[in-house]
Amino acid sequence: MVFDEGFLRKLEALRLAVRRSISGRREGERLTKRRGGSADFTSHRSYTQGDEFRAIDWNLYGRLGMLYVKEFTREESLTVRLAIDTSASMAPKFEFAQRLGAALALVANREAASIPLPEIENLQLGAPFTVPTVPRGLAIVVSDLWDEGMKPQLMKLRAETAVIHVLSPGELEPPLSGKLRLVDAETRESVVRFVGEEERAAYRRLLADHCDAWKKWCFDREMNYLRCSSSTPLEEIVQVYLREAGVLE
Amino acid sequence: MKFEQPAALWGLASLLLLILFSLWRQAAARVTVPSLLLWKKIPERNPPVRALRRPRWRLELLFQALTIAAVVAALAGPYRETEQFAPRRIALVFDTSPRMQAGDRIARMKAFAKNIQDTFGSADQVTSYWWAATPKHFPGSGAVSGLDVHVDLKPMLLAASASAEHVILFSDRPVDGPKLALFGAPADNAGIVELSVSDDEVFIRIVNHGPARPLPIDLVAGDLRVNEIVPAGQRVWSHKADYSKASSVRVTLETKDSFPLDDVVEATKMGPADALVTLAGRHHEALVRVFRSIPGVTVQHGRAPARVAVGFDEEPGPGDWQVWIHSPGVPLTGVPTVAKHPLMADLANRGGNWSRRNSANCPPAPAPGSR
Repeated sequence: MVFDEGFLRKLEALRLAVRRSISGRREGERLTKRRGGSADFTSHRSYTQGDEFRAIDWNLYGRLGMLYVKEFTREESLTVRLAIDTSASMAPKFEFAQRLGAALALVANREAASIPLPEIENLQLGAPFTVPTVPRGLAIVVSDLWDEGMKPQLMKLRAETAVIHVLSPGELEPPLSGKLRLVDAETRESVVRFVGEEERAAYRRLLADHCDAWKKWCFDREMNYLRCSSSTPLEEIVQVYLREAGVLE
Repeated sequence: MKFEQPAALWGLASLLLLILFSLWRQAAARVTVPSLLLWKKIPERNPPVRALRRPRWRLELLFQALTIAAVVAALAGPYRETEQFAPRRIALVFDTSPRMQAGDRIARMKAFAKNIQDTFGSADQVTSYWWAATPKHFPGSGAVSGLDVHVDLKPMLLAASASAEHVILFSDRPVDGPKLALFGAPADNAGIVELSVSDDEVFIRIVNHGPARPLPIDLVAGDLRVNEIVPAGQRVWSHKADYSKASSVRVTLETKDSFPLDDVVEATKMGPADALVTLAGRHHEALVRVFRSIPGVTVQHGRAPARVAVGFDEEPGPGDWQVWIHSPGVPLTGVPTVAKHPLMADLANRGGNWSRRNSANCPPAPAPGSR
């Protein structure tokens, strides 16, 4: 998997956008609002019951006569999990998904996340795919989302999740016509359909509904959602669409 | 190109039916899609008629169309007319036996062969067969010449049949196998082709190449003489009598045609097998013993007039030898003669075997010392 130098430089300027506070256990480079042992003071706030006494700023109490506690930022490492769909339906866009995953891994690895690139490169198309369990951090799922069974798996993710919906041009605008026996790439199930302009229009309509349903489903669960075509240049995806979707910043 | 059965070409209309049928029964093309999730939601419908305007050509349809076209073409029987004959392999078989030297039959045979060959196409392969005294290359049938020895036609006809589809035989005698016309005989010829004589019956088979007509027949057997008329169209004739005492039987068909060769047949009763063998030249004791072991053969040394001679015409040298086998009782006059032969004299007592001889075709007895 080879990226040109210009693209790699552009990747260096990007970082993962994380909306929630990170709850990784290891300390790292990314600052969180969680109070921690770092010496970087951020602000004062009013004392509330339960705060530690040692956090109270006694000097301020001497001047103002009110109890305030100091807040410090804590640097935590970012836990990022990248899941690329390897099911047979990904065949026409698997290479694109691998390149997209590698680009995201390069961005994530600069922030102390450790996503081994060879793992992405060695992914085998057709291998069974399940969304991994990610308790915290950031989970990025690259899939064509044809499997409705992914929804329960995504719901189990407690980490911040970004779903990248990848579709091939053949899925967006199927170049089919005539009487066809359509065979499912994964289940080998088949149906016979005559495909004409009417059917293609119906397909486009159903696909739009399908994508909108996924988008709504993801947004309802505070997940990032981005639909992209595998024919779109990767640089445009990374530089524009992923930033607009709030996956990168 | 023309067709023997042009009506069979209507079978090509089935091609149209085949194409129409295949259009309506198009097998669905197999296409793998990532998911059927959306396609299942699209209801199935019959293809609209306009979608059938462009047939999807398939290899199977092509083979079916070719098969139908081949069957129809075979039934129609296509052929191409041409003014040229298909090349033929023709064999000309010439009978060069001494009998054919009578009259000008050899010359007529060659002329007739030439006339036939003029009708052959340029691509025809013509092969000529005839017996020759010595093996040599013959440029064509013009080199055909008669021989002094008997010619067996069957080997030639076998060889000719093996190498050609058409065999033309030039001969004056019937041969089993090929169809032939009696060559040398005019169209009105009638003759005897078979004679069989036993102690109590004479049987002949007649061939009539001319118009059907009654044929007078004359039979002479010793003192017995029979004159009858064979009715027109009858092919066989027989007569019952006591022929056991006759030394010969002669049957004459009085046709008065231009080919008298086959009008007279004669059978002679064989006599006892007595013979005188005269040996000259180098003495071979083993040969003498062989001749002496044959019943009825007397062996002597010296030179004598011979009926059958084996040897040389010249005076024998010390290493040569000559054998003459002759019957002392037969006069050697040098003209065709049928006489009582001592070898046949006692034949009746030994079972009544008869031999057939055409008296008119009897070769002259060789002079002493001739080959």
